[in-house]
Amino acid sequence: MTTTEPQLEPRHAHDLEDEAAVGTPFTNAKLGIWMFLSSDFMFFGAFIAAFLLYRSRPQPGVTLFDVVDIPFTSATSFVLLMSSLTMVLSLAAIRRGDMRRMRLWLVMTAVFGMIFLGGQIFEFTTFYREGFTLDGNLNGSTFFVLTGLHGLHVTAGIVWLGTLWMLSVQNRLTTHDEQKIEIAGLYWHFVDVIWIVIFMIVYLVPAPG
Amino acid sequence: MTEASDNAPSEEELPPDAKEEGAVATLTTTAVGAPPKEAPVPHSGHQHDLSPFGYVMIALGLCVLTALEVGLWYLEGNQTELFGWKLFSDGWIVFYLGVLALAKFIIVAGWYMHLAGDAPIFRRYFTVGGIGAFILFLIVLRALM
Amino acid sequence: MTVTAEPPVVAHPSEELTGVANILKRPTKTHGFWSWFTTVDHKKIGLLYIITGVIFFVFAGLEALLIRLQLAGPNGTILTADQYNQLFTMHGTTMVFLVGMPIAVGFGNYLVPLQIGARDVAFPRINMLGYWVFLFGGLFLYSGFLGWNAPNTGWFGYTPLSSTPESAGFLPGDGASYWTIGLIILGIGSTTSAINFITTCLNMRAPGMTLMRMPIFTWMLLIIAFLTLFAIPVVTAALVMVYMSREFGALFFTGAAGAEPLLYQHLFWLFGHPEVYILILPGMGIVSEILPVFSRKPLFGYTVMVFSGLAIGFLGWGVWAHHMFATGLGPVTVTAFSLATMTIAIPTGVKIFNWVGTVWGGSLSFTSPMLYSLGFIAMFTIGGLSGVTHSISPADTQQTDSYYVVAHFHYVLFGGLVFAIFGGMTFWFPKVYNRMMNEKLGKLGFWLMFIGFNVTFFPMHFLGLQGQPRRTYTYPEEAGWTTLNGIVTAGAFLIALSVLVFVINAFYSWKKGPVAGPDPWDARTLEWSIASPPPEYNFAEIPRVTSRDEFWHRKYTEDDEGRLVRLPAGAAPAIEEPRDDVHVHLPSPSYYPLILALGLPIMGYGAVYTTYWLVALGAIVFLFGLYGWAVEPDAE
Repeated sequence: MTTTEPQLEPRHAHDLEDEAAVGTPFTNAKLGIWMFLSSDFMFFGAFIAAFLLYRSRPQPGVTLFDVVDIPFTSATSFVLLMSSLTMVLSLAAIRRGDMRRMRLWLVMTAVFGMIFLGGQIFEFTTFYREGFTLDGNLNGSTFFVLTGLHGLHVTAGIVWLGTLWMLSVQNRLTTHDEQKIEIAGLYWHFVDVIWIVIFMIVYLVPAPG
Repeated sequence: MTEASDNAPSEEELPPDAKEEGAVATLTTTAVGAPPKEAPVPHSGHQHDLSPFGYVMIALGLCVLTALEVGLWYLEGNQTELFGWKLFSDGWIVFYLGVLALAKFIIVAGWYMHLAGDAPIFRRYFTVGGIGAFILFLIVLRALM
Repeated sequence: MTVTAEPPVVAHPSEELTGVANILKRPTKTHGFWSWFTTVDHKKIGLLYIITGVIFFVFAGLEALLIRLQLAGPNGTILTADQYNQLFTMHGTTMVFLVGMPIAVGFGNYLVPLQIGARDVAFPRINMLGYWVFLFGGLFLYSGFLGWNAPNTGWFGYTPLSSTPESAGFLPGDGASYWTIGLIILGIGSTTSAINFITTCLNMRAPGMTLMRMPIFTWMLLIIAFLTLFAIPVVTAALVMVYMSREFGALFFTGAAGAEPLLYQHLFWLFGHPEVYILILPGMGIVSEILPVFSRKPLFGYTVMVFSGLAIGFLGWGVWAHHMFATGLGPVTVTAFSLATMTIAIPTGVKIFNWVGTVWGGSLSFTSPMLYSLGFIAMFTIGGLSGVTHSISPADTQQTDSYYVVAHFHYVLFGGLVFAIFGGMTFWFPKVYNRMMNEKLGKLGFWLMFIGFNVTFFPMHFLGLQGQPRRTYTYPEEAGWTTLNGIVTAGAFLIALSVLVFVINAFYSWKKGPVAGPDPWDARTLEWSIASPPPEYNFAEIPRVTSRDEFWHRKYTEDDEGRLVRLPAGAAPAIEEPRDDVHVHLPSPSYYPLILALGLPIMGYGAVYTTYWLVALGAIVFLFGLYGWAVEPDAE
């Protein structure tokens, strides 16, 4: 069964001049995911803006700066960063034709993602116990919604990677499917990049006043 | 009946790596010829792919940048001065953090997401878009604050 | 590259699934009633969008009629204040999200692949998903009417009225929760459509169709796809903030906690202003297709039309706060946005001049589509002029929140977009159904609509300047607005009559209209070069494009004096002959877009009532759909 990409390369009938070549060098799926990521980028931007708006307002109660644990969050951030490495190694593996290694790195990526999430959950429950909550003050509302949405994105990514892994184990993924890994990878890296931004803006920027 | 697209190769003639999962089935019988000069072949033959070692090196670089970022957090309130400038005032720290975060952003987008190796048009699109979005949010924050 | 016979093949529907363990057996029918539930054909999907959009248009129209009955005289008693709030909220929400955007997407779906010489869009199943998400999102919003619990905080949902939890006692009912969740769901559909259109336009054009040879309608769809892609996430973020405030006590908009009262408005209008361009640009695209055909001249200034569309799309991001001139932004901010708003009138005005330039000196035929398009130019200009008066912030401080604004946006959206939609439906009806719509009924419908529309909305300029506020369910006798309001209400019923005439025309023509053939209007773009209705595969051979208005240039050339000369049919007929030997592998129908989409409203109800098992159930349905989709191949 042929599943030919209709626009793998720009159309170019052989005896037409170059001007007949139309299209982009990206496949449909790759162009599509980049469009989606652009959109998601705006989504996070709005929440980051709200966080920035509210971080320096005088407000009662416990704020992030009272409860933050930089060493812990640095560790979980490091784990997420490493998951980007394992993701790109997975892609490199399938490009080499090494399905076993691809699966291995895929699993490692998902595992690192789960460790990150576990860290987030631990962190959030600790915050709640220490009085820093979603409904406590502006800082809390903006923090938990922003990082919570990021966590949901990580979760969706883990489900995605898990699905790919399952398909591969069932032999429904072949070396011709490297694009599927690449697309998942782009999403995963995006989620990592968003965390790079969040980690800096939310955790590391000095507390106001 | 024979007038048809003489230039269109039948399905079988399409190069094998043109067949891809997740793509729509042959919606066209048009010829797929050589790509235009600038664009690399989309999915395979990434001559600019790094070796696994290369990716690990990049990861190490990212770790170093992260360590620097975290280090800056510990340097908050530090009073070191250089020619009368407080090196680690809040404002400067935000600046350094911004530079480091931007560097990490560019490295991940460029090398893990392969934007550096892809067609220049996309680099331009994302750079312009990114700067545009950043400016837009600066305006919004300015209007709000 | 041989000259021998290419493999002749009949367009075959997908074969039955064998072997591969699919959870559901793949549907196979591409015709018949049930095929409409599983189709991935862009033409069917386009029709679904348009027809569903028209049905919602009727709902919104009925809501408007109820509003007008209530306001026909002072101290109306037909509706309570709360019911009135729900009706005007749903009227606006429906028109923007369930009529304007979907019908534009519907036209785009049907036409863009045809206009660029492709066989379908880039992601056919995602295309279908977009439709189901639209339908289910719309039904979800409307389900609030059960028990008069519909959204009731205006189509813009300003906080803190919308974001205060119901328990606080300011606003009874779950309407605002239905609204936020419903719009979040709809936003998902819009985003997927946007991604589809962008990828399709960029990647799937026929050989030789450079971007500057694309029809203007396609260009407009490409631009609004980008606008949608970037604007919808901003409003989705705002809606999430409202939802979290309502249901989980988040403090985004709580004044007592020190929140910024204007945060929501900035986020909403950051979306809201590009949104109005998302609404109108397709209408402009439609008009840009119709005018040249009935002037027998090419569009005047194609390049400028493209760049002004791009300019509108780009500048549209910089004017949002003109919706907030009366909120205390401060003189610097207000001035900046005032100037930016005036600037955006420039590319818009350029378009108007180009349309005039198109018909100027042309050989005009005043068919119904032409009448609607000319009406568009006139009415949109009026709306644009009142818009320019809004840009002057001191004047706007008087106009804002009054009926003057209602007049303005109805002139641009009804006199603009709706006229274009009716014109477009009449224009492309023959392509879709191979029948001409009745011209007499068409003209009657147009004139009824034109007169009804102006009788309804022109007096609103005066009412607004006389002080009648928006969004208020009644007014006192002493205000002196009674006469004009009575006239407005009469006009509204005239509009309703005109829509009825159109619907009757559509049904009658569908059954009994004269056969149209492929090119009844002697038109210019590629969709007219194939049979009516187009075969499933669209083009037996992907066309090779050598110029703008490719189809026109296959039919005509010009003699030395610039007169049109019809080319003989000869060896390269302009219109593709019908063939029964085309073998094209098309994407197969699928259940999964429907199933996936179904998960969303279920999760939605769970979210509105914070019932976690419902959310879980919806998530299971969603994930089932997702997994099945991932596993099934595009075509079999």
